[in-house]
Amino acid sequence: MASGQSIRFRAFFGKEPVEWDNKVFRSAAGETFRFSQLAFYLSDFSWYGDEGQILHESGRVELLKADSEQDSMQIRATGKAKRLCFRLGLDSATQVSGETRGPLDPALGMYWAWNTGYIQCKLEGVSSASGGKNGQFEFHLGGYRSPCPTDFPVCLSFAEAYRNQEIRLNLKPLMDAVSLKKNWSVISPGEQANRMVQIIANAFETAETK
Amino acid sequence: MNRLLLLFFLFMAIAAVPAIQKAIFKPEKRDIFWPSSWPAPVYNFKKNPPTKEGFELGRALFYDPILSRDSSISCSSCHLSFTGFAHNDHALSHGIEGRIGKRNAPALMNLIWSPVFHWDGGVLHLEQQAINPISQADEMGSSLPEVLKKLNRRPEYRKMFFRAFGDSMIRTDNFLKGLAQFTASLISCRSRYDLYTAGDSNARFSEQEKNGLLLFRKNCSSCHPEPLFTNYTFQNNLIKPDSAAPDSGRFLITGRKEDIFKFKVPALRNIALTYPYMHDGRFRNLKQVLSHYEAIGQAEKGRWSENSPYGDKEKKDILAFLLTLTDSSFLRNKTFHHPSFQK
Repeated sequence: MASGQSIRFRAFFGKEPVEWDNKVFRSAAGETFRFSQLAFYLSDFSWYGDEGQILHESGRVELLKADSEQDSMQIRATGKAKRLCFRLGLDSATQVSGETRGPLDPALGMYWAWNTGYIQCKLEGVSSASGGKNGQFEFHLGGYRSPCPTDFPVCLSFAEAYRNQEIRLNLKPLMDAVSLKKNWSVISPGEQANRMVQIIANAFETAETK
Repeated sequence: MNRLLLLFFLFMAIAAVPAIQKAIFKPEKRDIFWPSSWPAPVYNFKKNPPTKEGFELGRALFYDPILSRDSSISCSSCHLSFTGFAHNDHALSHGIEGRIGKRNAPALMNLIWSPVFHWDGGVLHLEQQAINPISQADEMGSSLPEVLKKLNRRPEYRKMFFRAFGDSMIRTDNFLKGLAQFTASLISCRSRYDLYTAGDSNARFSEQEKNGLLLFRKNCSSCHPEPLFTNYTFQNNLIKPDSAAPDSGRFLITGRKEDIFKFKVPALRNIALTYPYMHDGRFRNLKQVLSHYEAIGQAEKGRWSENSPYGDKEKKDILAFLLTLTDSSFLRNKTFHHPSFQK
């Protein structure tokens, strides 16, 4: 991973890559669904070298989005890094900073006007189990106030052959933990959003690019 | 050879663009004044320095119905300059297609001191506040991308944005900053109360107004402290929830049970003109407001008034004082009015 390169993020369901609007998946409880879009913020990146030394730190904010139109989630990488830590979501200071440029542009569909702040992670799809309009389910997970903040640290290690590595987000643990029949719409801050983002934060992993 | 010359001139022309832009983009600094005794504003002017061009842009946007989906409603539809930028005689805000909003349109003034916006405090930044009425279905019913698209189609706005921010491509941040150039300027600080308390010999208070001020300080100022007349907290002032349209207020934002039916304490300047009152505009006049506080003062001694509850004479005196908060210089400031009124 030479300096100036980027590393790709991909959404998976278990071992299978997500195909937006297309591939049907099944949760542990037997609910079937298709995903239509995923979007999430990452911030506060730290890249570490072989011996744990910090190679690069950046407070930049990245908004990664994937759907059937675009599936090229990636971030700038730092050369020879063996470990990467970042924040899934935005911290409370960024949430209320009033900054509206770049990835924080409220026109990008991640801003909550009624209760200031940004959705940290958005996942939408369609399921016959969902009670939503046209079978839609939507998880707009956010909130920064105590006791239910929704930003979580994530740390990942790269294997030796890091040039061939990608970062995967496995959506299976999340979908196994929710019932679309009961909770097809989670769109407010609170304990449930907090729990769901925590599950997502634990579902990142590095893997060899295929 | 000719082709080389053409390329050379083309290169020179492109290279000169930033210099020309720099020469054209020279916004004129605009001073905003408030009393030196007032606290420092919350709004950070360093990130959006007041300029003449920015203010004119903000004013044009504020009065332009282009911000609504069907181009029928502007900010000024619910915030009229002549009535302290409130919508007097309208309990709830009116939106596109005759829709009625859920809450009373608040008066706009001294916004740069406010750390919270809207009755429930759901917005924490002056610039971002504008997104809510634009995207609220019962108000302007539009969206930021739609508004930006419409504005970018208008050459006069592209020119105004360039003059204000050095960029003719209209983006979210400059759009919101442009509106804030205007709303941040709405400072009301020259009422008769201000002149009187500043020791201006031309400003006199009657005995009734003086007593009203004393009573106000004794009974009302814990929530409405001078000079801004709000402490920006959220309070449940025991008005009965509307069973037809229940609104749990601050609870919708925090999710905390103790915030049910709490609403932001409003600032009281120009209050004689900003009727009706409360978050749902249920009280048509100030007498009804004072009677409400009198009633709950008697019911809950010590909570709503520092000392003893007040009676009819006291209510009249407080009312007389509240009328001194009308700031004619603010209301008649032509630079705050519709651009066509200034010509």
